[in-house]
Amino acid sequence: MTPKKRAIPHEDIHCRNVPGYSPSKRSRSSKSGDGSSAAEGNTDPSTGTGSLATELSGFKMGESSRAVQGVRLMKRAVRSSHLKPTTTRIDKYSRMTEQEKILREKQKHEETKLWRHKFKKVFPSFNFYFDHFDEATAKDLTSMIRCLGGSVEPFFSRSVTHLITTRQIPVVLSENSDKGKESSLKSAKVGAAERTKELNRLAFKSSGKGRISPTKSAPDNFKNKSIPLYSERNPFDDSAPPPAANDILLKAQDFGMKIWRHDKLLTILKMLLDEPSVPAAAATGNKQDLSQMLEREKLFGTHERDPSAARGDYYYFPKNGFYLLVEDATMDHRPIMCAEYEYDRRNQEGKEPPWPVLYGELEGRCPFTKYDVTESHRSRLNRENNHQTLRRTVSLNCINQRIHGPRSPRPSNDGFFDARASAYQMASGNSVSITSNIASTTSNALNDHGGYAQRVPQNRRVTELGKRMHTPLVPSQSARISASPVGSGGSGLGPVAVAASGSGSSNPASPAASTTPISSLSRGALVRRMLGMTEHESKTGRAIPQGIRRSASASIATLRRREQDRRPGYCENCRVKYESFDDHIQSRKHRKFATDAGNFVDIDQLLLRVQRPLIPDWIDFSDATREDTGSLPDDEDELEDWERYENSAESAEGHNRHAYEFEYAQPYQTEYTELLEGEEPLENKIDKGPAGGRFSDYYHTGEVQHLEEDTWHHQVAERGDTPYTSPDVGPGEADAGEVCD
Amino acid sequence: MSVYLPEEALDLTLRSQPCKELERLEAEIRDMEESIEGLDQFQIVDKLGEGTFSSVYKAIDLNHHFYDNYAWTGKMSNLDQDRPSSKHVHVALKRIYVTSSPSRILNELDILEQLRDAEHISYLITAFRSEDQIVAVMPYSRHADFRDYYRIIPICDLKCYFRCLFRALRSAHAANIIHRDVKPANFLYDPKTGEGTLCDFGLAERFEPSDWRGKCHHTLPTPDFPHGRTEINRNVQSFHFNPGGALAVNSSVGRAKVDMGPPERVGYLKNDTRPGVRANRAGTRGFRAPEVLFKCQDQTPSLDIWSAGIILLAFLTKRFPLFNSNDDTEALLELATIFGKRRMEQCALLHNRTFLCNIPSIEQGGQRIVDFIVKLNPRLREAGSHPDPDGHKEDVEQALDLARACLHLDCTRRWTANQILNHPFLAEE
Repeated sequence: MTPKKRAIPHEDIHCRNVPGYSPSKRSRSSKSGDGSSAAEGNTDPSTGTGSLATELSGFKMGESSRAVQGVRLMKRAVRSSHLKPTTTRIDKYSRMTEQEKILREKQKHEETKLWRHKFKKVFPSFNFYFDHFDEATAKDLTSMIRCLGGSVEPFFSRSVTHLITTRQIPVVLSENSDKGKESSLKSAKVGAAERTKELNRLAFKSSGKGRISPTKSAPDNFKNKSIPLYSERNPFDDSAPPPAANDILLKAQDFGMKIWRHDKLLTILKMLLDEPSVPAAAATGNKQDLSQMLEREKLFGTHERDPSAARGDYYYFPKNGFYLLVEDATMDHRPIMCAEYEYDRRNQEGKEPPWPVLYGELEGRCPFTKYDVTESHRSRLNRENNHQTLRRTVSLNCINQRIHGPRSPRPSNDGFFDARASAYQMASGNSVSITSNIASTTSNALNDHGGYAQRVPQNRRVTELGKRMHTPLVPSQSARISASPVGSGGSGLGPVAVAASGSGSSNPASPAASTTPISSLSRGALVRRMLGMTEHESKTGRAIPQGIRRSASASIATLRRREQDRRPGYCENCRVKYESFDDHIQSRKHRKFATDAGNFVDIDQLLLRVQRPLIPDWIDFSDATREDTGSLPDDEDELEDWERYENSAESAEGHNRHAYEFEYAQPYQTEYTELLEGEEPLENKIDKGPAGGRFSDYYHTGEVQHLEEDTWHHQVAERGDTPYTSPDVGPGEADAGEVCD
Repeated sequence: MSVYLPEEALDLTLRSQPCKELERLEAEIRDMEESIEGLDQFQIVDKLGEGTFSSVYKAIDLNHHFYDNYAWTGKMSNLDQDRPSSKHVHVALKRIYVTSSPSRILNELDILEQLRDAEHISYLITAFRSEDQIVAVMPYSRHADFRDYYRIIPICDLKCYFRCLFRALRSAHAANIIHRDVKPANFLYDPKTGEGTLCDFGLAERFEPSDWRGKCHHTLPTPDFPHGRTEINRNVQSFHFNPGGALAVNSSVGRAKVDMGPPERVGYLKNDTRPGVRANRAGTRGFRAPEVLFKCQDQTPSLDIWSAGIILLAFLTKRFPLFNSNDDTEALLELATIFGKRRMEQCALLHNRTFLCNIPSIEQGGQRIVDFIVKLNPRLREAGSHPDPDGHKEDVEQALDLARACLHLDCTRRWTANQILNHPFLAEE
């Protein structure tokens, strides 16, 4: 038998060829296959479509009599299939015309391209697990997989989608298209055990003879068993023990995971990582040459000329001028940057050059900006290095939070960071530019790092306050321009000047405390909430400085908001430039876009995926806790609790309505919905109290603990009152009232 | 939803001028609460910031205890937790402007979803849509204004800062995601806890190996070379290959030619009909990597490393903002002022660009980044009252070395986030 000239025809991949059929049928099928002499020892790749050349590495064999030949054949087939198509194809290929060849190549290229594209798209959803790999190889593969967006599981679990192994892949019944459903987990395991026996036998044989000739007895042995053999097993390589019944490979098959051989993964990775752009680029590179050359000649004129000679269609920078020119050396694009500066050192004595210059003398300032600095300024700024950590231990931080109550929205009014307290007063200070993509997309945007005057030293709290109040009112635009090195003239002005004007204003601590009476009654409430002032604080008046500080962050933001209101922009959806944001989004065109759900199909899908889950099984969970906690509070307290929770329940319901619109697919949400829909209205339940149903149970048990804690607290702190009867409202209650109103 | 307290409780401070701004903000928030469905789950308490594509608000998560928040709080549920009503959980609401295209929003949310497991990256709690308005909900991260701490932060705290930042970048880059807008305002760091969170993936993009253009002289990143390698690319036309060019065939004097300075006449075609280079240049000025400025079409995650390096530079030089450019041209000149002409030309060459410049303030050799830092901040190495002067000195040297590692003009030589985390400055014992 000389199988080397024979290749396996792809076209013959057929479901009938898969293992499990009777030999007679098989022989027929192989005869009718391609009509070639390959009837004997024909190997039948079980992979269905054959669309993937690499699938070939997953060959399986059905009959033991042909196992050995098959192995050899298959090896060749695998090898050759990577290199060239089948014999028949080669023959066809040689007969093909040049055009046909090109067309075929093109088609092939397209196919691979499509394949690659498809694979790349799904690759990130792949979750690999390496079985029997040495660390180095696994590491290499892992990085390659990650490069493509896939992930690798360190441990075998159900989340694995692809198992990669260096071992033989056992062929399990379930892979048979016709018997797939019948094969249960059990039978697979039984099969595995049988196979193990058989394999041992085979292995023994092979080791004894060294070479196995096809035996007639083998098929008889398997006649009534539909368990295929490890066809691709190399009989000379018996080092690998056959898989045990609980082998990971079998498990993976049970789980329906894809099992790939090492080489298959390698081939796929190679296809995905290596090939792109290389052949394409080369092809286009050659092809474009002529057209490119012509194009270039049109642009730059003929090459047969003195390159140093001036050209009429060129602009040349003047001899005494200064320039920057960044060109695309590939000549495909026009110059990337071009700047020309006129600057005469003699005539413009004292003036700063128009290009960036590194001054850098002042700490805390942009080194490319020129500042007029006094000596005192400098000395004050150049302080000694701080070596003390700014970090506080977590516990201390927590204590601090507990004392001052994190419920207040003000970030940190603790005096504990004393010297630099002002630096932390407005946690949101940073975030004025939190999303400052203004500069991100258009470099000419005027406002970036908000609030220039914030660059003043931070250690004087009072003046600081004043500045924070005033600086937002300084048009950031002017600050920006004066700070720019290119802006000729008043380069001395700038942040320093702005800051100075800020601190110069009289009595900065109470900048406007005594002016302008309040005009509107409706305003203020929300403001106060934002200021983080409780009623108590505002009455005593102690919160004044606090309020100012808070207002500063908000006012900066609002000012920007106003700018933005005016700011013209571009609507990506309507593809129009607009003068006013607010006007545009009310426009008919935009509203039409906004109300068309079809524009948001993809987003809605994603939103469904990212919804925050409700507490899983919260009903059961709450029941369990209830049992644990045992005691129940008196009715009075419960009623209070209901009141407190009424609002959150309402808003939860509101959310639910919302959720319903989206038609949540997640089980938790659905469960929630059903509960609300199926049972009586929530209000009724609340009135009924704890007996009202599962919903109330939830609140209820949550509250038990809550109350226990509270009362415990009270007991320890002040009195010895009995639990649950205290008419006093704990600190938690006060909060809830404030917030949930 | 909002709280209305008795009018007499109104404080005097509110009767002042800034009240008008606050009123406006109040109106804005009220307007939002009314118009955006789904917002009733939250109570907005402050506005945190505003950008071209979004505004961010601080809000109380009213129904916090209804949800499984384990993924972002690490707490199982509120049933056996602290009293839900006494401890408000704050979240950040990112209101993406309705003028942003759905695809842009999708990109951001998709990336956020993918990076949910990543440490030090703002977690996407949930998101919802009301007509064209999309709101993303993320945990509120306590943080301080960069300007308030960058000059007083000690070297030892810098380690915390950059460990968080580079861990975030490592996760993102491992997922082939380029943030593109790394800057202090997008990295919320709390100096008190040493915790930092990378946020705002509005400009982030996925690195697609299949989109590789191959017009530069650096190669497609591979696992072994995550930032690619420098390799002369002969598949592409370039006048660096021309006789006398830097890459001229069998010309060992090529480099010398480049160093000889600009040719006799420098100019450009007046009516150039060729198209301009189309390359992603999203980012913030002052933080854009040189390859972005050169409009390289094959940008790699290494551009985030550059931006992070610029932050480190700001810390070490105690200068912020470090650059003050109005456009990319100025930005490039600023870089040239530091790095010198020769290295800029080398960098331009890598991306098949030319860098022709005769501005006198740009020196041929430039300065080493370490020298530049020490020049701007001569007292950096001073131990002063530090309890362990030797340890401090070592820290400073390592920090300087890290800056060098991040700020290679050549993107292929820039260290990866993973390498940086193993750098002596950041490596943990």
